[in-house]
Amino acid sequence: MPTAQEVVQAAYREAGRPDLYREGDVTYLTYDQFGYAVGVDGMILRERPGAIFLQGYFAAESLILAETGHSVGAIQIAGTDQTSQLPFLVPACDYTLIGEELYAASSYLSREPVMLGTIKAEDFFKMAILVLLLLGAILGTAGLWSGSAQHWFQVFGRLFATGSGGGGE
Amino acid sequence: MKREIPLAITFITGILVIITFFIPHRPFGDFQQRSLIWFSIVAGFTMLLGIDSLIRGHGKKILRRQEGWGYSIALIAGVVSTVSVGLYSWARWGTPFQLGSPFMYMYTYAIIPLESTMFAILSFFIASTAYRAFRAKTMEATLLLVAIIVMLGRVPAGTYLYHLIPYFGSHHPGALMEFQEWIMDVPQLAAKRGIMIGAYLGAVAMSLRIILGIERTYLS
Repeated sequence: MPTAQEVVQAAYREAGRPDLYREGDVTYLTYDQFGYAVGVDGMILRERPGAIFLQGYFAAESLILAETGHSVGAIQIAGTDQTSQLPFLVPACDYTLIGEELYAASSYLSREPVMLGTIKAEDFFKMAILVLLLLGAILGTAGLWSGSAQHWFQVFGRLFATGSGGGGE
Repeated sequence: MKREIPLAITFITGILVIITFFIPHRPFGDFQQRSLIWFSIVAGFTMLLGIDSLIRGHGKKILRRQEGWGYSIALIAGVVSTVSVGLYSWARWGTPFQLGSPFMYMYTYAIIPLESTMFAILSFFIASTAYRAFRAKTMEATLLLVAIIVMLGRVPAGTYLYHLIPYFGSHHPGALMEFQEWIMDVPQLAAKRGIMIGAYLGAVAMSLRIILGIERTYLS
């Protein structure tokens, strides 16, 4: 929390309005999921903000927060990598940063060349993963008809085996 | 030094955790477990900081009679009563989590019903969000109507309605269930895995940026 307070204070300083920062702007609510949701909802309904940013990890409280924000007419920008919460945030918020867009947001806003370079590197790795996925899919499909393709598909799969059992999503 | 020391701590800790992932032997092998214990201790102390900030902020609100000071009284009363009941239960029963203790009574008959209420409110919020989402104004929103097929396939009412459809309901009774399972197992799972691959790559890139000191926004 002190880190969050300093980050907000620095942001006000960079914007040229350090006088607008109040220590009570960034407070600790609770670690409890719904206690947090209720506390934030109360703040939204009392203070009626014009814009709400819901960024980070969310569980069931995401829709409670988003719907309450919608009810006061605030513009809402959400961002999460939780695929289980995206179906709630996408229709409830005006804009949603999905998955990697959340992590790329700071680079996109700062425009620092080194940080933008990491986004570019990410894109290259994604392309490489895409090529490997396509290769695996082609080998796996061909393996249904050809014994040698089936053999190469198994060799290909063993290259990426972690030995931990795998499975799941 | 105000920026250099936290950067150095971040770098050393990050590199150590990465190394322990690849070297299971001592002294690296149990570093992850040890760092989890350290994290719990630090989290406990930061909780004290949070509670101090909470009580000071709301205390000021009450003293200055600012707008909403009545809610602050309720909050501080809740904090004080929970702490005192917990301490009393600890002193009397050895642990506040003993079944039958006042602390567990408060938890069972106050906290749990309140949390269940909040969870129940979700159902109404889902209904209002679904109403907004299912208005087919754009191509993307029309695609969301596929979700109706999944919904119908997962509830008894949907199965009942499907059986009323002439020919399909009688000749292919399991088709709706199979179709919604196919939607969940194939296109939905493919999209979810694509998002997760991108998200994990983004998380790796963000972690490397933080460890190497390229991303410094958390330092202010």
